[in-house]
Amino acid sequence: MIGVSGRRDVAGVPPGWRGKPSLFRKTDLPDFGAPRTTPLPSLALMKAFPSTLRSPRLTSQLGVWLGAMFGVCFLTGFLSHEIQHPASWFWWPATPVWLYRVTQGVHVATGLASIPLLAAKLWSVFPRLLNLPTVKKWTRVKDWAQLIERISVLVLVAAAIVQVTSGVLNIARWYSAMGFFFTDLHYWTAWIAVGALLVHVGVKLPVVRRALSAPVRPLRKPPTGLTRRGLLGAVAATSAVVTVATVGETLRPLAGVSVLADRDPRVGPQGLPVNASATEAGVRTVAADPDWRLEVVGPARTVQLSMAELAAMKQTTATLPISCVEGWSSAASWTGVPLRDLVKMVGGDNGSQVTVVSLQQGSRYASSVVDPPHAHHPHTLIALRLRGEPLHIDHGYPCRLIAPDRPGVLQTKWLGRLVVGSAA
Amino acid sequence: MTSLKGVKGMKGLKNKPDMSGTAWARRGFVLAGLAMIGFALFGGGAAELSTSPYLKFVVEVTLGVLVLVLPLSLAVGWLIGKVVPVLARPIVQGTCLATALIVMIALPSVLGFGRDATLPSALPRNYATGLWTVLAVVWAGAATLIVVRIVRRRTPKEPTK
Repeated sequence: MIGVSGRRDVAGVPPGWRGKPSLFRKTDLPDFGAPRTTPLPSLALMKAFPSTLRSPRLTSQLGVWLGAMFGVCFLTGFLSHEIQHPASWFWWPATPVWLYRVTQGVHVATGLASIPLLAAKLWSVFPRLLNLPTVKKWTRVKDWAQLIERISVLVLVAAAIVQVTSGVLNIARWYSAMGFFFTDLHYWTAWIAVGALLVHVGVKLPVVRRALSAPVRPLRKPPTGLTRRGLLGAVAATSAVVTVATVGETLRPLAGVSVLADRDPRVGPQGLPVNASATEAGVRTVAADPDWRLEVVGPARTVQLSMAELAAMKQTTATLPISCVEGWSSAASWTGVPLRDLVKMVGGDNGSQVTVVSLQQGSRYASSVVDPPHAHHPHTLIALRLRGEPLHIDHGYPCRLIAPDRPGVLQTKWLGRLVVGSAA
Repeated sequence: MTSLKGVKGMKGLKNKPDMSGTAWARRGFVLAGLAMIGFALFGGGAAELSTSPYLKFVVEVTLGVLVLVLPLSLAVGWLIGKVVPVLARPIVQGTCLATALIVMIALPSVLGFGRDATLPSALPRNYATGLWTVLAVVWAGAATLIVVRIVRRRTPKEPTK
């Protein structure tokens, strides 16, 4: 907000607003009062933004917190991407069963909590952002470090805004507002955002260090609006309110107070949310067909099992969460046949990899691969029952995969076929 | 940073490469960052990142925030500075900031374009009511703080014994 007052680290234009640091010359030494070689960044522009609250110290403090939150989002998002599209070197454990639930819950909660920080950070540098596109300014670029810094700032601002906006639209399922497939572009934009952030840190490190270590001068006159601490407090309080209002989609005890959460872990067929209905998937008729059989293809033989035959096999009950990539999660008690029993039945072993195929057609989530750590886990089930009752058709009737520590999109529903093969 | 011209004893350093640990760390950050951007732009993400719906979205939301939302918040802040008494001004400023952000975050759910009749467990709440509830709590907190400030100002301080 403009019009707020606070403290300025030094008189006049704040020091961090001057000049540009070079990466290759010894120019990161303290300002000894040397004559300026570059003109001040538009004094007229600074006058248009008279808030004394803007300072390198405030921007640095916001930047440090925002950088940490973006770092957490990037790492947890990277994990989620690798679990869904694993590289050859990637390995993800089956235990603890709640690990993905935590990492993805943290990803979404941190992303939402970072929005107030991003807004405050943009506000704190807004006058300088306005300087970016002017041709006059661009012609003053003195070395490649300045050029990189300016481009990286532009890229960083755009990428950060795109990431939080698309994230909010995605959890509210407003896909049409984006017009593109969210998952891939959120992932690649994250690389750009964090890359631009690292470049920005590299260029601005001396400014940040100096701003955070310099003593704060006493106020010349009492503020009439928010102080620096007041603004930081307001940003922190807003992040806390946003978190409490939304995190109940994964923290069940807070479900009652999280009135802005896009899911309620208590609401859905059989008291559990779903992300795709049988009608939407186009499987309502084929899944209810009494002639349905689960085909299990293995290295030694192929078998076809009816519901009655599956129900007659040894059943296991396990409490496992459905953890959606959109950040919500909910645990429930599932009963079914351990996948490893079916693997053994067709000649597979502990090192086998299983591809589970849905009756659903034309969806990128119609099949998924279960790697050996999960396929061999005793609680990875071909589930027939949820909370003691037959599966609701929206939960995957006649049977579905439920495995520990996997994203919900990989817990394939309405199964028609299992293919057991080598993990190699 | 400013030039070292005119700084006593610093002339000779002007064009010498800085070999300090900090300088190397900075170079490392820049190179790692450029590598990440290059990986996305010219590696795996090249095809997806160049699609027109994505580029359109990038331009729209970036300009929307920088040209519309931020200037609007500056205007509101300026107005608060003019009309709100000094006693309540910081609290009103902070609360307006919180209100704007909470509304922006809740708006997609409140509008409900992501609702699907076949999927009642998605967006299951009344988000307009939820938003008003959250804002009521936030503004109730703000009102309490303003009252506390008024009471504190009116209560004369006891002389120190």
